[in-house]
Amino acid sequence: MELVSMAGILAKHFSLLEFESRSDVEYTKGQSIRDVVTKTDLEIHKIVGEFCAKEFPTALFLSEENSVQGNSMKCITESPSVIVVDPLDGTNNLVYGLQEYGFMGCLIREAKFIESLVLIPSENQVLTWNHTRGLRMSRDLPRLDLPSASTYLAYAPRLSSNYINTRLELMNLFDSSTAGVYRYGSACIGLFRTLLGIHSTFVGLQMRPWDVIPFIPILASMGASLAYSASIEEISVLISFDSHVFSRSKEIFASNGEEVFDFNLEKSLKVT
Amino acid sequence: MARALVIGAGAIGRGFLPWTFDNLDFDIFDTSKELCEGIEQQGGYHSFMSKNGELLERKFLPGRCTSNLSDLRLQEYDLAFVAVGPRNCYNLPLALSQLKCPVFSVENDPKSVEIISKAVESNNVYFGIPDVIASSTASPENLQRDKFALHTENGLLYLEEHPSISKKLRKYLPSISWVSKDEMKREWDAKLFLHNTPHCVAAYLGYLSKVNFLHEGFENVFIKHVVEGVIEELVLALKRNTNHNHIFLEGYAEKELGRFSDSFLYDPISRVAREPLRKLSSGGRLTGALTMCLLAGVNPINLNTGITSALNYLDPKDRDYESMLQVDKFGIANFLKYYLNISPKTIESKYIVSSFEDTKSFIRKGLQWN
Repeated sequence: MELVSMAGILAKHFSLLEFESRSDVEYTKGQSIRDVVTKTDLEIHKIVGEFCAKEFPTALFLSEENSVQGNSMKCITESPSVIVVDPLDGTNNLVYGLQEYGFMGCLIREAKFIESLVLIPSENQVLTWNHTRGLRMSRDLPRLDLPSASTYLAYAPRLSSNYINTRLELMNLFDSSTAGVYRYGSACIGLFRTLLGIHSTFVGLQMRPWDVIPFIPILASMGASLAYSASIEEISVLISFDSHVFSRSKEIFASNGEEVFDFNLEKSLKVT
Repeated sequence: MARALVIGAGAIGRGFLPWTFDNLDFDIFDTSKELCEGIEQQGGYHSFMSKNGELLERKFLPGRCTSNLSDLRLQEYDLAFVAVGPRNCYNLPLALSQLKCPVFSVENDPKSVEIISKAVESNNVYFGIPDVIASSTASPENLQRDKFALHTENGLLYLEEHPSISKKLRKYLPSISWVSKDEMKREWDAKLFLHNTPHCVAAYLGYLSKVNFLHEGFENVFIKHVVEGVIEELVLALKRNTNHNHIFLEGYAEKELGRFSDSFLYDPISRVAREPLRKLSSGGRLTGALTMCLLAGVNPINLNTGITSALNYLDPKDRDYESMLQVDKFGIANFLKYYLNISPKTIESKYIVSSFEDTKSFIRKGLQWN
């Protein structure tokens, strides 16, 4: 059984959003008003959890909605088998009535990517990546080659002082070297638009792994340059189709004291 | 003597186009090394043309038939044709940008002009319509004589008129119809909706009735009836939606059924039905035709029968096979949304979804399909 087998079930559940409101906030997590949870988050978490318990009984199930531990990256890099899921990335957008949200999930074995599944209702798109078959899109979308491509910059609500500096320097770089910085509340959509070529670069600072990890093999298979820095609980990523921006961004990460690893699909993920 | 390059040695490129090259030398480029070497080693290949109830035969000998572009002097051609299949246009070798001559896309999709222009970095790309049924294979006896043989209909080639096409070059190509952009639009509408749409409907129903060639499917009364119905629906929709001459549309429709049932063509169902996602996608020859009918107030019962049969096309050898398996898993409404970009809120989606199960039963009964 593969993760892709649940794409149809997820699509059916997302289609309920077309006909009824399932976007009322049930609660917020911790002290951050950004981290809202709706009925849809919980329902999709439950559907995926049940599917994984049945089809991948030995895999650790790491979802945004069940993560209470602060060592998720450690779990990902050290577990024999782990499924990482963000049931609904961009929940606040759903609450606001915006279309930028989606589902992301992946299967990792011994710190290597095996499979990824991304579903984006507003773009009518299902992306699947498999370590043997590669990337498949439900609808072929040619990658744009825009000279005016911009950068998507995502970051945690509370950055460490190192990363506050990194963010500032990166923003200066992106404003001078790309068509500007975008941020619209869903890393999933930012990553998808990086794949399409709307953004030439995606940077995520101190992200929770489910917000970004499932897209990593998808963009790697499209030829993006990837580098990351990870602690036991979070990951910062640098994904770019622009070699100049990529190398300059890496220098900025390093000059602020971060240990940066290059990524390709043959390599295992690791934490510092 | 002028010289042409044919890019893509499939049904159109190898089977049909050379019949229009009476006064041209031509070379063929195709990515299949085996095919190109085979044709060169045996000193050419045969193409058989169905014409007025007879099967004509010609042996063609391209100057070069190669899978290696460096074997060709690209700057020296007077004319080039791209016939590689619409999806393959994205992957044309950049070396083709060395072509200095006009390039004609004969890909059954006007959008291919832009795709080819980008791929080969040229502004000298134009649209052409090969109004022909060209098979990707031949009868068993002709294949025994020549494994690279193909069958084709006696079709017409329409090419877009443009000042960059010299009078001298036109003289070399007396059998080609050079038409203005406006006439091209008329010919394209007729080709797309009165030929391509019923042609693929016949193929999908033929697949469900488990035959291998299109003319075999036409022996089935149910298939013939549905295809005739599709043509009637589309003639009516075109009359209401366009300014095209009604006599032209009716004349075009009239000749279609005879073309599909031509037993000389040996047109494989798998060729005509291939890549159903492209044919079913929003604006394509099936759902685009559905939109046109619904806008024109035509109830497209037969066309919808064709669309439903296409949604049940499950050929494991087809490039879209894995996606087509998702029809059951996603449910029809979500399949239309995620795989064909047809939103559940559209009238097309509502029409297909609301009648899907009943139409399947109707086809099942008509074809004794299980």
